[in-house]
Amino acid sequence: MHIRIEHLNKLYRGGNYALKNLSLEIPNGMFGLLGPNGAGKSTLMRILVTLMKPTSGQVWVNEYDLAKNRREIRAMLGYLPQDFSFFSKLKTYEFLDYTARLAGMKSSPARRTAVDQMLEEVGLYEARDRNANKLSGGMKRRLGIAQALINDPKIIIVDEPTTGLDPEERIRFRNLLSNLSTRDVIIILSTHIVGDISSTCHNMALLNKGELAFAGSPEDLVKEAIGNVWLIQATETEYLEINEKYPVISTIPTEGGWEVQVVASEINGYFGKQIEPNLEHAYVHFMENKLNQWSNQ
Amino acid sequence: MISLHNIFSIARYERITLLRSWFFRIFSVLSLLVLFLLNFGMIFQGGGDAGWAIRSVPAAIPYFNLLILNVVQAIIAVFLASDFLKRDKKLDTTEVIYMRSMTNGEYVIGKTWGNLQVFLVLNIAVIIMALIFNMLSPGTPVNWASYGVYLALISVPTLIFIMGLSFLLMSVIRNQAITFVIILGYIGVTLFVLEAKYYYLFDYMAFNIPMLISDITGMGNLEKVLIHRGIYFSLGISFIFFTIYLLKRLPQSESMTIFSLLFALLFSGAGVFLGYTHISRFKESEALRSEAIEVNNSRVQELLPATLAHSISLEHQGNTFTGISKLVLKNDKDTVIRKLIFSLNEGLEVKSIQLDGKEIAFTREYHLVVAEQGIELEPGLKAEVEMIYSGKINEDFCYLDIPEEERQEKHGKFVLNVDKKYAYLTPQYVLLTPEVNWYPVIGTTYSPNNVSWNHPEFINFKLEVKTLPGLQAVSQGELQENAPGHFTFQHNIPLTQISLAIGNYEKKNIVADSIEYSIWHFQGHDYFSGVFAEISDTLGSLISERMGDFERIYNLEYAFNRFSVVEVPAHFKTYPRSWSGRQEFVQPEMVLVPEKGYLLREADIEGAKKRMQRWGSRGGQGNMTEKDIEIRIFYELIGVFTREQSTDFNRGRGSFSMVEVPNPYFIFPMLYNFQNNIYSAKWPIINRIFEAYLRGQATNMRGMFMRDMQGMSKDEMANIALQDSSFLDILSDPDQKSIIDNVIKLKGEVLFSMIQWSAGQKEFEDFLRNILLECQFKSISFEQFDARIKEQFGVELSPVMDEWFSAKTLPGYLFSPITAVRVKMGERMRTKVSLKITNFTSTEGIVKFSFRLGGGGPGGRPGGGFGRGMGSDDMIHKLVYLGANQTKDVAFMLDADPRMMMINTLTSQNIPQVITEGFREIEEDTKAIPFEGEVISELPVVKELAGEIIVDNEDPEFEITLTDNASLLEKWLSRDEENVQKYAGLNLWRPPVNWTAITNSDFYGEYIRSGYYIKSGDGSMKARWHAPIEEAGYYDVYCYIYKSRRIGRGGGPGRGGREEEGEYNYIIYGDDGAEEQMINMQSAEPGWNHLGSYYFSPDTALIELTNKSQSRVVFADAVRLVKL
Repeated sequence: MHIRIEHLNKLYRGGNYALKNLSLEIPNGMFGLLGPNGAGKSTLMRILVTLMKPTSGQVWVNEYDLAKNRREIRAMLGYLPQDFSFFSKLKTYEFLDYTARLAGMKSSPARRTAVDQMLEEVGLYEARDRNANKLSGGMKRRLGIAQALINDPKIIIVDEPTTGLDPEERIRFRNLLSNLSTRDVIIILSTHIVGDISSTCHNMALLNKGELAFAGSPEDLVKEAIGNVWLIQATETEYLEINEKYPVISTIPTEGGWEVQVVASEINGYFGKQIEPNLEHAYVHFMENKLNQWSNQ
Repeated sequence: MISLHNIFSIARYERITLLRSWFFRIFSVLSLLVLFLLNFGMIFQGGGDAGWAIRSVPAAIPYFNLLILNVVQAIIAVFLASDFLKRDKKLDTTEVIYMRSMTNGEYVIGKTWGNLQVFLVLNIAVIIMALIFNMLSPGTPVNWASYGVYLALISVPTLIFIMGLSFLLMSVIRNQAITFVIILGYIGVTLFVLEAKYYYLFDYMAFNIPMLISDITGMGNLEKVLIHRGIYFSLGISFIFFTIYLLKRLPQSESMTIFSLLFALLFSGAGVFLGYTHISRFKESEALRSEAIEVNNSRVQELLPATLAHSISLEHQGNTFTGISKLVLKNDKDTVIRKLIFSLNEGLEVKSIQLDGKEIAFTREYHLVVAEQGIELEPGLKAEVEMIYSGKINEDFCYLDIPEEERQEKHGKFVLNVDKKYAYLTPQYVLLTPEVNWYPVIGTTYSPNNVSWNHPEFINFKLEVKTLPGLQAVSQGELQENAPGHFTFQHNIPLTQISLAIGNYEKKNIVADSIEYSIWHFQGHDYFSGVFAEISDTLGSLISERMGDFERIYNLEYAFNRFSVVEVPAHFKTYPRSWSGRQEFVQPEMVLVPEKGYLLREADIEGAKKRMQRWGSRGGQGNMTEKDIEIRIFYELIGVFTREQSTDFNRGRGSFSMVEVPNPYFIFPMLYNFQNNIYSAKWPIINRIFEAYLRGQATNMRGMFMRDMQGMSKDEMANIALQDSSFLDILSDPDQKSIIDNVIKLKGEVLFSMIQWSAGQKEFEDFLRNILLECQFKSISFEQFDARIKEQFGVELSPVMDEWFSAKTLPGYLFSPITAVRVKMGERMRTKVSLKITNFTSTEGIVKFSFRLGGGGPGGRPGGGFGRGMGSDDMIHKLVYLGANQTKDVAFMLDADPRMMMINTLTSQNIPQVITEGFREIEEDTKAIPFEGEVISELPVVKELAGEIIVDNEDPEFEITLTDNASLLEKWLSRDEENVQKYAGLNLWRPPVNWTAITNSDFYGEYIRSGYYIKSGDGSMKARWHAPIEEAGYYDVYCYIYKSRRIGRGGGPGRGGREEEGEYNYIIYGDDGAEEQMINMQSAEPGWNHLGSYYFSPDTALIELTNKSQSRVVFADAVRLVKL
C-alpha cells in the first residue's frame, strides 16, 4: 500500500489555507502525523477519508485517484474521528454490525464472528448488549477503534485515538496497531501524544499552518535535536529565568532547587549537561528552531 | 451498480433506531388505541349512521382505519424523516458512516426504506386490528383485496411524498424546526382549506379523494385514483432523488450525482405529467359537457314528434352492449316534421337508422343523433324508426345541468369518500337509468335556453335483454325469463322512462293488495330477511296499510302493480334537479338503493333493534314486545321512501347541527311524476308547480323546529328572494339554485291557495284529483286544465299567470294577539280562535292558517312510517284572503282544543314567514259568541297605542356593542357561521360571543319578529334602546322577554329543555341617574315585563341590557315606554 499526496491545497471561504501545497509520500506501516492545533492534520485526514474535497492537488492510493475512485478507496478505509459518538438507540454489537455491513461484510455468520472477535479485542464483549448512552468515555473510544478496524481495512486513519484511554488501554491499543502494521496496511495516526508515535511509527510528518514542515522517520527528527537538549540543575531564581529564556520540557523539584530539561543550543551561565533527545525533545526543538513557534505560555 | 446490501443495511438500522424512539412508540400506541376505540364503537356499539356505513360496505373498515392512520402518520413521518438529517448533522457518527463505500443514493434510499418499514409495520398492525374487527363484525364479510389496495394507495404514496418532501426541505433549509413548521402548515392547508378543491389535486393524504371499494363493482374510479396517487408517489420519489443530489456528502463518483439529478427531474416530470393528466381529464369532461349543452341549445327548439311506443332489444357484451330500438312516432303537431333528433349516450355508436323500413342518413353531434334527409312526417301520421347502436356509456354526458363544483363535492359518510357513478357497464354488472340516455329518446337533453327539452312522454315500452347466464336483469314491467340470461319485460301501462340493472341479483318478494313488493339484492347481501321473524306473517298487511296511509296523505293513488327496491353499487349518485323534485334513485315502480343502504341510518336494522331493546330495558319505551320493536323498525325502514326530507346530522368542532335535505328516495314521483304530466309551452315550470303543490299536502311542523336549528328556513330565504326578484328572475338565476324548490313551492301555494279561496278548498282538491285520475299516464296541457277550472268554478288562471310570474311586490301582515276560548254551541263545547289581521301593503295576499288538534306537540316524530310525522290527518287548514290595505277580523271554530296554530303568510314581507302560536289551557268564555268566518274591519291592527313608545331591535334607535375580544379559538370555531345570512340559527350549545340576530314567532316585531342573543359574560357587551322622548314626565318602562322553547318556558323542566335560570341586567338611564333592574328569568313572563317607572326629560331615554347573567344566553328584543 502506498499513498501519494501531490500539491494538495485546501482553501476555506475566508481565504485561509488549511492545507497549502502539501506533497507527501505515505508508505506501508504506521505513519505518524504531528503538528500543533490548526496545522491542518484533521483537514488532511478528512480529505483522505473522502469526507472533504481538496481545493486542488491530487491524492493517489496505489493506482487509485482519490477524486475519481472513491468507491474503491472507501472500501479500503477505516476511520476513527477525534470526537466519536454513535446512535444512542443502538447497542454496541449492533453498531459494530452496522459498520461491518457497510464495510462490505455481507455474510452474516462471518460478520457475527468478526464483530464478536473485534469486541473481544477491544475489550467490549461484556458490554455488547449495552446501549451507547450506557458506555463510559473509554468504552466509546474503544468502540470507535473497533468500528475503524472491522473488516481489516487497508488504510486506517485514526485521529487522537488514545485520548481518554487509561495507560493500560493505551498500550493495548498501541500494540493492536503495531500488530496490524506488520500487514500490508497503512495506519495514519494523528496524535498529540508524541510517545504514541515514537513507540509505533516508522515514518512521520510534521505539519505546520497547512504546510509540511518535516517528513521522515522519528529517528531523523530526533537526530536533528542531538546536542540541543539539556538537563539543568537550577535554583529557584534560575528556574524562573530559564523558564523565560528556553522551552522547558520538564521540571523535577530537587533538594534546594529544580532539575529542568530544556531545548537549546547552549545554556550560558547555568549548570547543566547535554542529554540524549527523544521525539518529544525533537518535536519541541523542531518547532522552536525551525519554525520559531514554541512558547512556554 | 446499486448495492442492495448497503440499502438494506442502512434501512435495517434506521428501522431499529426509529422503532426504539419513544416518540414513535407513543404515537403508535395512541394511534392503535384511538383506532381500537373507533372500531369498537363503530362495529360493536352501533356507531350511529357512520357505524352502519362502515359495517355495510366491507371495504369501509380498512378504508377508514387506514385513512385516519394516514392523517396522523403523515404528520409523524415529517418529524421522523427530518430527524435523520438532523441526526446526521449533529452526530460525528455520520463521519464513520459517510466514509464507507456506498453511494449517496444507497444511503438516502436506505434511510427512506428504513423509515417506510417502520410505518409499514404500524400500518400492518392497524390492518390486522381492522381485520380482526372485520371478522368479528356480524354480517360484514372480509374484502381481503381491499386491505392491500388501501395500503398501497393511501399509505405508501403519502409516506413517500411526505418523507421525500421532508428530506428535501431539510436538505435545503437544514433546520428541523422550520421544516416541521412549513410541512405542518402545508398539511393544515391541504386538510382544512384546500380539502377537495381543485379536483382534490392537493390531497396528498388521500383524505378527500373518493376511494370506497364497492362490494359489487370495486373501485369505480381506479384509474383516476391511480393517477392521483401516482402524482404524489412520483413527486415523493423525485424529492428523494433531489435529496440524494443535495446530500452533503462526497458522492462515490461525480457521474452518480448527475444520475440523481436526472432521476429527480424524470420523476418530477412524471408527477407533473400525472397532475396535468388528472386535471385535464376533469377539464376535458367539463369542456365536453359545455359543448354538449351548446349542441342542445342549438337543437332544442326543433319541432319533434311524440313517441308512442318503444321496443328495446339489448344484448350485454362485457363492457359494451348492442341495442336495437324500435320506436313508433307520431306527429302530434300542426305542421310537417322534417327532422328527427334523438338523444343517445355519446359512447354509443349508431350503426343504422331505418324509417318505416328504409335506411336513412344521419349525423352525430356528440350525444345527439340528427336525421334531416328524406323525412316528411305529416301532422297526425305515425312512423316507425329502428335504430341499432352499440358501445359504451360515457358518463360525462350525464347531469349536464349540475355544475362542476357540485359534481366534485365530497360524497359519503364519516371519513368515507365515495366516488360518484351515474351508470355501470361491466361484464358482471350493468346499471342504466334514463339519465345516461342508454336508449334513444326524441329531443335533446338539458338546455338552459329552453326548458321545453324536458317533456315527459308516456310511452308503451317493451324490453328484451340478453346477458350472461347466471346474471339477472331487473327492469320495470312483468319479468319473464325465456332462457338463462334472456329476459323480457312487458308493460301494461305507459311509462315515462325505464331503467335496467343486470347483476347477480336475488329477489325477495311479497304480494299485498295486488301489488308485488320486491327487494332485489345482491347475492350475500340479504341481511334483512331474518330480522322480522315476529312479523313475517303480517308484513304484507303492514306494507299495504302503510302504502294506504301514504296514498291518503297526498290523496293520490299508487297505480303500479309492482314496487321494487333494487340494490345498486355504493357509488351510484344522483342529484336534485330544478325541474323536478324527483331524483334518479326513484324510477317508475322501483327505487334504487345503494349497497345495503349504507348511507341510511334506517337500513341498520339490527342496530335499530338493539337500540330499541336497550331503550326498552331502561324503561323508556314501556313494555315493548319483540313484535312491537320489529313493527316499529319496519315502519322506520319504509319511512325512508315516504318522507320528503331527510336530516343530515353534522357533528364537528364541538357543535352539533341538523340540516334538512331533500330525501332522494322519496317515492312521491310514483304518485305524480310517473303518472301525470301537465305541460305548458308558455310556462314550462307548471308541472313542477303542480308537483310541489301536491307534495306540500303533507305539511308538517318539523320545519318549525328545523328553522330554529338552522336560522332562517329555506322557505324564508325563498320568501326574501321573492321580495327582491320576480319568480321568473329567480328561475333563471343559477345562484338561487339552493332555494329554487322552495320558491316553486311557495309560488305554487300562492297560486293554488287563490283558487282554493275562490272555489273552496275541498271542491278544488276533489276537482284536481279527478283531473289527475282522468289523465293518468297521459300528458295534459295547462291550457286544457285551465279550461276545466273555468268550466267548473268560473275561475281562470291564465290571465293572472303573467303577473304571478313577474310580480315583485309582496304583501305584509300584522296580527293582533290571538285569543282562544271555549264556546258552548248547543250541547257541544267548541273552541273559538280569533284574531285581527291587517295587510298594510298595496299587494293582495293569502294567509293560510293550520291548526293541529289534540296531542303530539310540535314536530311529531321525524321520519316515522307512512303518515307518521307527515301529519296532515290531524291538521285543519283555513285560508284568508286580504286585499290591499285591508283588515279582517277572523274567527275559526274548532271541534277540539288546538295545540298549535301556524299562520303561514306564504310569500310576504313577514319574517318568520310562518308564525307559530302554542295554546296551553283554554278556558271557557260564557260570553263569547260562536262565529266562524271573516269580517272586513275598518280598524287596522294597532302598532302602537297613544302615549306609547316602542323601540324594537329592528329600529334604528337600537344598537349593540361588538367586540373582537374573543379568543382566536373562539373566532376560528365560529368562522363558518359569520355573515352567512342576516339571521342566524339559535345555537344554545355554542352561543355566539357577539350579539347575533335571530328570528322567531315569539319575538316582538312588526313584519320581522327578530331579536339578538349572546353568550352571557362579564357585562361588557351591551344592547341599547334609545327611545325618543318628546314630552317630559314619568314613564312605565317595559322590556320584551323572549323565552326559547328549547330552553323551557316555565312549568319546570320538560321535554322542551330545562327552565331558563338567572336574571337579565337592565340599566335605565332616567333623569335621576342610572338604575339597575334585574329581571328574574324564572318568574318573568314571555312578552312585556315591567321594569319600573322613571322620569325622562325630552330627549332620548336610554335603556341598556348587558350580557351579565347567570343564564347561558341573553336575548335582547324590544322596550316599551308608556306615559303615565
